[in-house]
Order: sequence, then structure tokens, then C-alpha cells
Amino acid sequence: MQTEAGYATFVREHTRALLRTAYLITGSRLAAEELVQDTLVRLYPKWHRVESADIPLAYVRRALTNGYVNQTRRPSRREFAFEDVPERVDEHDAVNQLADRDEIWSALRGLPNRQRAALVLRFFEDLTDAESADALGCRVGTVRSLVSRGLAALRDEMTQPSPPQAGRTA
Amino acid sequence: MNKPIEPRPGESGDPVVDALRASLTEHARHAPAADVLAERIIASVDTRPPARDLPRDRRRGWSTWTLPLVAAGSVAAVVGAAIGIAHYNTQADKAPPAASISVSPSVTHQVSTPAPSPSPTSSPSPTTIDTSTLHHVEIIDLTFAGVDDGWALASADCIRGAGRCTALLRTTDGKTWKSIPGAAFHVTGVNDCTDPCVKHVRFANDQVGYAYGQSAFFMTSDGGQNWQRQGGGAEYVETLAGNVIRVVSSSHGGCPGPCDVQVETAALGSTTWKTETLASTSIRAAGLSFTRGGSDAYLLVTRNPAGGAANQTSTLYRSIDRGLTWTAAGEPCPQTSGEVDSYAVAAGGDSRVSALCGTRQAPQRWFVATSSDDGATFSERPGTIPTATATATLLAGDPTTVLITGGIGLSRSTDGGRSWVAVPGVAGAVSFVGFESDTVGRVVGDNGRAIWTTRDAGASWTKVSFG
Repeated sequence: MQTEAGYATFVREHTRALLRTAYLITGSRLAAEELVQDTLVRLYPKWHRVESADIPLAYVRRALTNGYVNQTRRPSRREFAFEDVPERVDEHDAVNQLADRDEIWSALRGLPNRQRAALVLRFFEDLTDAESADALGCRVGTVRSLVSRGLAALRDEMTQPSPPQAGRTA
Repeated sequence: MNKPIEPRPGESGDPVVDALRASLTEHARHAPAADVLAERIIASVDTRPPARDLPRDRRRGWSTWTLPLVAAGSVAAVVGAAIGIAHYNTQADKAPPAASISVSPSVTHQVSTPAPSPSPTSSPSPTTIDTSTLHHVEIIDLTFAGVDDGWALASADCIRGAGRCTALLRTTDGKTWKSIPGAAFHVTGVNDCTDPCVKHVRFANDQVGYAYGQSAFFMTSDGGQNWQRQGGGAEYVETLAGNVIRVVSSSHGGCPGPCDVQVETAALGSTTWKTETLASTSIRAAGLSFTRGGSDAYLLVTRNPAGGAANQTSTLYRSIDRGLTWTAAGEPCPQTSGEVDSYAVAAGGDSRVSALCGTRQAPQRWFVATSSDDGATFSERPGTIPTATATATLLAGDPTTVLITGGIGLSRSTDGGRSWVAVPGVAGAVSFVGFESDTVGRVVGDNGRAIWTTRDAGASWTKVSFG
């Protein structure tokens, strides 16, 4: 069947890219595999819709991101979006505190799920705000808010002063 | 990644953005491999033609809440048709997708010493996922590489055909479990457990783990997705400090229990094993008890007390260097009440080791002897254990907490074995007790149909039941 062949071709061609995105937003190899697998299996019964989309990969990525956000969303973790939140660079020179990429990776993993997904879509997938909004199933303003708040949280995390060393001072 | 994009105001030259991009690019390289997963996904659906949408006029009349149910049903149909539990009657089964199992609402039981709380209190229900996949799950063994990062060896009703099949389950939150497809082994109690048959599973971290029985030994380096069989089998396996230790034995005529007991060690993930030298050679045992505490490991070799020979004493072997060298510490149970036999050993933190002791002469009395010097010397604790038997399992959590199960129910002591109270609510046959840390532990009870979790060294327990 042609659809089945197209499905197999798509899965073989794009699983790697989807796994990368899933790994970055979940932070877990196992969760990434489950998310990709669940997404692709869920889409199979309506694969003709994917094939008829302008960009099938974008369609699947949207399903993947939505699946992740909806799966993990809890009322207490919902965020409130603001339109036109200005982004600015903190005057504090943070360059020296960003040397360790694991540090920002850890900080990223500590963000709320939607903020993390928004940052991955924008700064790894290089999606526009409109494309990110489509993938996340929300408004453009919400995406801007999520990105802004995510960056602010990372910036705060990176500029936290180190805890004092224990010991004598004199 | 895909196309150039204009930086937004304030974003250009932002060190946080630059670091974030670099970090994402770097970590994307550590994403899981795609080839195997892609083929698994294709195999899971390629026997079912894609369904078409329902006619629009039918969909229009449905309540909004029914649509997710229908979608979930479609997924369940696809997933359920290719469920990831092992089948014995076909070689044609393709690797299926992961399947989820649901857990029932949990109940927390409180216990305190000396007066246990009589009335259990309800706790919030854990996440439930798909109820249509695995049925009548029975847990055989548990292992946790982190507080909530665990695997379970289990059996469940076969999806295709009658009978029981093997299931390997995974949790990352300690509450919801999903099956990992394609287990390379069978489990004990399922279809007589034809070779290869395993009884236990142990993971050292989220990637490296071992499944084993007396005549089969498997290792995984990818969290249980794929398994590699190695030679021999194991009575026990423990991992500590980058090493894995396995206790092996053979059985032959004239030896009633485990014979030729040996300890082997390997680096985690390695297939090269080295036989370590115990203080005695040609060990014949009536039973074995193996435990780990901190970086120390202890092996109790018990002798047959029914033979009437007074010299059938047990020996405790201990290693304080990741299993590389072992010394014999003699019989752990003090011989202060006539002849006393040692039945089980459990290591806690802080150099403490506990041994289950039973007098040989009737009326038999059960008690605990404890050591605070890595098992070098033991002293008898006053008090009698109400539920002990010769096949009891002893477990030590934090330095002063000891749990014991005689096969039915669970008792707990918080004073090193002086006084004991039954843990309310832990019912039915208890097949597993284990601690991931000083305070977090699990019990498999209710004949494998429930897992109790404690996060406070056994003071309170939360139950998760499998449907």
C-alpha cells in the first residue's frame, strides 16, 4: 500500500530529527524514544493527513510537541502569557559564567515544560514565533512570553552568585 | 538549524542565547539512535492498514470528550495488537512498541514504633495511562537505579494466545509502568520457564543492567531495549562503585544446596569476568544470602542445620573493596543460646550489618544480631521476631531500620531488631523487599500484584496495584 510505504519512508528518514527534538525537550533518552514512538504510532491511522500537509515533518513535530505538552501539563504548572514582553540583555556580564554548557543544560531541564519546548523550537529548530505557536498549539504572543520567561529564568540561573566556601575568613 | 532566522531585538550577542544554542547543539548529539527505533515503529504498525476518518456527519454529533477516547482507543488498538511481551509459540513476532499499564489508586499506610497507626489514609491517585494492554500483571523482581528510575521483571496474560508471558516493565516516576518490548528471556513460573530462564533483574544505572537466573545471564547497555547473553548464570548480582558482583554456583549429586560457590566480578558493562578467591574452596551450602551496604558486600553461606552436626556452621564473607577481595568473618550469629544458626544477612549504612538468627533447639527462637564494624563482630539484640521463618528475608534500610518478611506480610524494627511491629496493609505473599537508599524502599506483595513504596525508611507506605 502506498500510504504504508510513505509512512515507512518518513519514519526512516525523520526519526533521527524527531528524536533530537524530543530528547532536548524531555531531557531523557527513554522519554524521547517513547514520545517519538507514541507520536508516530498515534498518527499512523490518519497518515494521509500527514502526507497532505504542506510540510509533513512540521505536522509531525507539532503532534510531537503537543503530545508532550498535553501529556505533562498540570493545572499548577500552567503559565500565564503576556503580549509583547520586551527581551533585554542583563547588564551583568554573564559570559564568564556560561562556560559550562552542562550548567545551562541543567538550568534548561529545570524550566517548565512549555518554556523548555518553546526554547528548543526557537533556538534549536530555528522556528519562527508563528511556527512555534503552531507547534505548541498556542498564540504567537504566548510563544514570545514563553521564550522571554525561559531566557530570563536561564539568565537568573546563570548569574546566581556561587555559595560561599566554608572555612575561616581570617 | 533548518534555515537562517533573524535574531529578535535584544537577542543578538546575548550570551545566554549563544550558550543555549551551543548547549542544545551539543546535547542533540546525545539523542538516542534512530535506526532501531524507526524499524520498531514500522514493525508495530505494518500489519494494520491506516484507518480512514469517520464520516463527518457521524463525528459532528459526538460529545467533545468522546474524541480523546476514540483516539486513545485507536492507539490502544495499534499498540495492543503488537504488545511487547514475549511469546513462546512464534518466532515471527516483531518488536512491538512500548505499552503502558495502569495502576490503581494508591493507599498510604502509616506505621510507627511502637504503636502503629490503625487506620490507613488515602493518598492521591497516581497517573493512569492505558488500561487495555497488559492484564493480570504479577511482579517477580524489582530494581531501581534511582529513586524512581526502575525496572520490573513480571509476567502477564499473553496478548496473543492463552497462558502467561514474560514482561519487562519500566518506570521513570515510580508510579506508572510501561513495557519494554523484545525481552530476550523467559521468567520463572511462566510456561515452566524454558531456557533461557531468569528470576531477577538488577540495574546499575539507567543504561547498564543484568537479568539472571541460575543458568542464564543477560546484560543490557541501553536501558533494557536490547540484551546480550553471557555464559553461566548467577544466584545473586549486585552492583557497586563501577563493579558488578555475581555469586555463581553449580549443583550436582551429593550436594543438597548451592555447590562450588564462587564470586565473580567485572567492570560495569564488561563481558570479562574474574573469579575472586573466597577464603574457602569447594564451598557447599544449604543456602546463600547476599547483600550490599555502601561500598561493602557480604555473602552469607549457610550450612544445613537439619543434619544434626554441630559443626555445620555458617560463614559470612565480606568484601570492603568492591568485591575484589573477600575475608571470612565466621558465623555471624552469636552462639550464646546453645547452637544458633544464621539464616540471612542485611547491610545498612554506617558499617552496620544485621543477621537473622534462629536457635537450633526447640522451641525455636528468632532474633537479630547486629554488627557496627562491617560485620567483623556481632552482638545479639534482645527481643524476638514474631514472624520469622527459616526462609525469611532480612533487609536493612537506614542504620537502625530493619525489615523482615517470612513470606507473608512485613515487620519492621527501628531499634536494630529489639522490637518489631507489623507493617499494616502489606498483605499476601511478599516476594521482594529492597531499598534504593537509606530511606526509599519497595516491597512486592499481594502475590506480585502490588508494589509498596516507602520514602521514610518504612514509616509510611504507598501502594500501587496492577490490574
